[in-house]
Amino acid sequence: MRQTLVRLGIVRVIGPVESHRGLGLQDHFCWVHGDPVDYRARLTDFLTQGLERGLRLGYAGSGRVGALRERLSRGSMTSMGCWFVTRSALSPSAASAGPGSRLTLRRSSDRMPPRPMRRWPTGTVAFASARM
Amino acid sequence: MTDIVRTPEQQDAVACYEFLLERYTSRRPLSAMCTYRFELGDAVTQCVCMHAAVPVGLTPFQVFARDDGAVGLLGEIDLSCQVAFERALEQVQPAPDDSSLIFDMSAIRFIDHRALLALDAYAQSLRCR
Repeated sequence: MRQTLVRLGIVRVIGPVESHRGLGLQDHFCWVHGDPVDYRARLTDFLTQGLERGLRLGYAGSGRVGALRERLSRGSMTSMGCWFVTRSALSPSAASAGPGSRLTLRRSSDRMPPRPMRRWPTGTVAFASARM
Repeated sequence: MTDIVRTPEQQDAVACYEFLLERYTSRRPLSAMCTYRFELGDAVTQCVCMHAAVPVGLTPFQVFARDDGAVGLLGEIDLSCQVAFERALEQVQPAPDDSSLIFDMSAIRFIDHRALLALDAYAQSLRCR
C-alpha cells in the first residue's frame, strides 16, 4: 500500500505587510520609524504578543545592558526576565561572517530568564523564542 | 540598530547579520522585529531588504531564507536598485551544511539582465572561495 507523506510546516510571512500584528513564531519583520513614541508603541505591542504566547523574550540594541533596560522602562515596560544583546555582540567584527558561518550571539546578561508569566507587565522583547 | 549602521562597512556587516538571522528564523522558533530610524535614508534599504516581512513601499526587492536552505528573491530588481542588490548578494552565504546554494526566483515580478549578470558573477565568486 502506498503511503502518502505529509509535511507540516510553519507558514512564514513573506513580502510587504501593513503591520507587525499577527506575525507568527518564525517571522522576521523589519520596521522603520520616525519618532520614539511610534517606536515604543510598536515595540510594546510586539513584546506583548510574545508574552501572551508564553515565549522567552530578548531585546538587542546599541548600548550597555543598563541603557537597554532603561529604554524599555521608558516605554512603560519592565525589563524583568529580558535577555539582552548589546552593541558589542552586534559590532561589525561580530557580524562579519565568512562561508559557513553560523549565527551566534553572545549574551550580555548572564541571567537566563525563566519563561515569562502572564502576571508580568507587558513588554520586554524584540525577540520572542520558544527556546533561545 | 540605527547606531551601528552609520558607515558602509557597518551597513554591510549588519546586513550580513540580518541574513543570518533571517536564515535562523526560517528554521527555528524565533520571531524577531528589527527597527531602524528613517534618518538613515537610503542605508535603510540595505538592511530592510534582508527581511522576509517588510513594511509596504520600503524596498523594491527582498532577499529571504527558505526553510530548505534556498535563498528567495522577491519583488522587482532593475537599474534603480542594482547597487543595493549587488551589496545584498555579497552578504548571502551558503548554509554551513549545504554544498550548493539555490535561488528561488518564483516570487520575482521583474528582473533585468544586469541583475542576472550580478547573480552569475556572485555564483562565480562562490566557486573561488
